[in-house]
Amino acid sequence: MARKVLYTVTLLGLLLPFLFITDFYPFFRLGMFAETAKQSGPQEKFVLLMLTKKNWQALPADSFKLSESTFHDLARNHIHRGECEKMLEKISALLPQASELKLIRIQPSSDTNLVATWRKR
Amino acid sequence: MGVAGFLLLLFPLFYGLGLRESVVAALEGSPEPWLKSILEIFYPRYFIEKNRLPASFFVSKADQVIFRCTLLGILLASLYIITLVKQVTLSTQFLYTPSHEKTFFWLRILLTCINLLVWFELYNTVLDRTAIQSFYVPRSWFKLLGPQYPSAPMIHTLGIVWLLSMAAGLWKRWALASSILHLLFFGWFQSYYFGFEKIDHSFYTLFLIYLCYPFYCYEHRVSGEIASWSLRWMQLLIAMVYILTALEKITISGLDWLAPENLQVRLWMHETPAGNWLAQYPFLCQLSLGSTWIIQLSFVCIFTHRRLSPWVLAAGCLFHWSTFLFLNIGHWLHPWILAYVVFIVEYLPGSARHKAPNKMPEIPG
Repeated sequence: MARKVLYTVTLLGLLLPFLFITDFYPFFRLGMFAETAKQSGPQEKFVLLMLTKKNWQALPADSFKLSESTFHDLARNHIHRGECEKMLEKISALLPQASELKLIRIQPSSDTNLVATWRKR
Repeated sequence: MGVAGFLLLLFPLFYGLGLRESVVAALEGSPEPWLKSILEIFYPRYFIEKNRLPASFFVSKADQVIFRCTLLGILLASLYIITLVKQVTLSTQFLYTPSHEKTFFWLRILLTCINLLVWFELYNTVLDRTAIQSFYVPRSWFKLLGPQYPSAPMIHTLGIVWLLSMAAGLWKRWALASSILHLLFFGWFQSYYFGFEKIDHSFYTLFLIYLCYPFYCYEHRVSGEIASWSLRWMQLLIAMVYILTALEKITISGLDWLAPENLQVRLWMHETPAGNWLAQYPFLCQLSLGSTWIIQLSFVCIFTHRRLSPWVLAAGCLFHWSTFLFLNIGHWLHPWILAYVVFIVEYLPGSARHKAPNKMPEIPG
């Protein structure tokens, strides 16, 4: 009985993400790099700028305790939810020296644009 | 099996009978509430990705789902009809493998070492992320654990208990309890590890092993040589993961996936010295893509030509190391390589495969 349950669970766990092209956590779709570079769309990049002595300085994600990929995903998701100011507010708590922050989006297909600004009150 | 096959074939039927038009219209405009709820369950990233990708991208995904359902539906229905007409039953005999107490011993030792590495990564990352807990968003069933990120003392306590239970797993007597606890702790820590709006499949093959390992421990309650199905099942799952990976590539991109530009663009994006060098040679890029696809598909040999398994695993290691060297993805001790332990234990001294058994162990059932 237990054996059949394990067979069923693991087989469904492997096949359902394959069929529906999505993750059913803890089972994953295994489509890493399955799309050609062209199909996967333009790669956008996000940069956090901090005002230091009247100069804008780009900060690496690890300086506010995030990995580059996590920062990238957080930025994209916050833009979608319209919560970029909230995101900068949270980052500012990790950068006590920050007085002003800017989030920039760089897209190869269009101009670089300013997504959000945060100023210390 | 037959019912599942015929049910799957209903998808293309409804899709062809007008559902596709509704899906295309919804994806090109604004999805109706019923489609929106389906998308939220099956493809939550749609609402983020639609800002950067055209509607045609999502329509081709919907077509692809129907194509895959048709393919699997036909396969399952055909198998069912064949078993019905020819009056044969599908044998699971091939799942049974002689497993000696010594194999269990090696698996306990090696899995404990691997688990220690997993523990180190999850425990340290979850602890480090207490600093950025304001970004924590539980996803899917992680929500059951509540919206709060755990405190540092709680992480320390659970981390130490996890470590102790892991050590207990070295002893045969405690292996079953330890394996169950390890699965629970792994799930708990991973839920916070992936709670920052990013999940990936780094630990996926190890998770599949963790899911089956308690069954293996349970089978080994008795001493001596047994006919184990769970070890073979772990091996089959790992093989299936690679085969599905290869199938994903060919079903999504077709032969375009093998075009050298596909790898060149990715190499330029990841910017490693080795990758920049490789990107200059289209022929080598094409060769690398072809080899990747063949290596991933070659895991089918684990079902068909088990003697080739060591070569397949060596090729698998080469693939992961190349990914690290050229694309800076993973590392030398990639968790997917560590998962090969379920194959390696059979070749270690004293294990069933290492010593030629006098007679096949009895198959239960």
